[in-house]
Amino acid sequence: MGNVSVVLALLNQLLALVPTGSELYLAYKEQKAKLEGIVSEGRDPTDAEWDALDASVREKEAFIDRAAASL
Amino acid sequence: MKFKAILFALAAVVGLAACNGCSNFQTKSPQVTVFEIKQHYDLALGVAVAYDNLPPCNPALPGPDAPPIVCAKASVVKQIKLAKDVASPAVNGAEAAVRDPNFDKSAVDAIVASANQAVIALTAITVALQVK
Repeated sequence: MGNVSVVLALLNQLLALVPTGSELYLAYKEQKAKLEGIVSEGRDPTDAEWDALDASVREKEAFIDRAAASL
Repeated sequence: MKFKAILFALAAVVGLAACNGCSNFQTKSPQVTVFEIKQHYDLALGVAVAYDNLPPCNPALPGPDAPPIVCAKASVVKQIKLAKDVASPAVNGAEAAVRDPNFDKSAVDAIVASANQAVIALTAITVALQVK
């Protein structure tokens, strides 16, 4: 019985990760499509494309800094 | 027994993406190459953020207060931050270099390789993440 409750607890926690995993997979596919578009058009990324990527990176870096600072 | 969550399978995707970038330096413009490296960096950060978002592991807690099965180790959270702190200036430096119209083209290969290595170091941590 104890094992069953542990397995159920684990499944619940893994299921809670699925939305995050889906978001990451979506982000991966979007980034891949963006890059393929740039390459197929034979151009460099625009300022707006750089800015969007930079903003995404800055947001995540700030989160990682906060997580480490809270230890 | 160790489990790998769906989330962390994505880390392998990020790892593969980072390696693809290594082999294509010569066929893309410097800006596109660095843009791709920064995309990989962003994805690796996404995996790292998801890990940092897990409840913290605390093996000292007994009984019903025991730590969750899926949890973030403090040591790994610190390791991620250290790798991020190394990768961030390398990637931003590479971006600044290739976006500068007067950049030294002879230095591109070294700048790009340095940025890519830093991202690979962060990716290696995210690929190795496991959920106990």
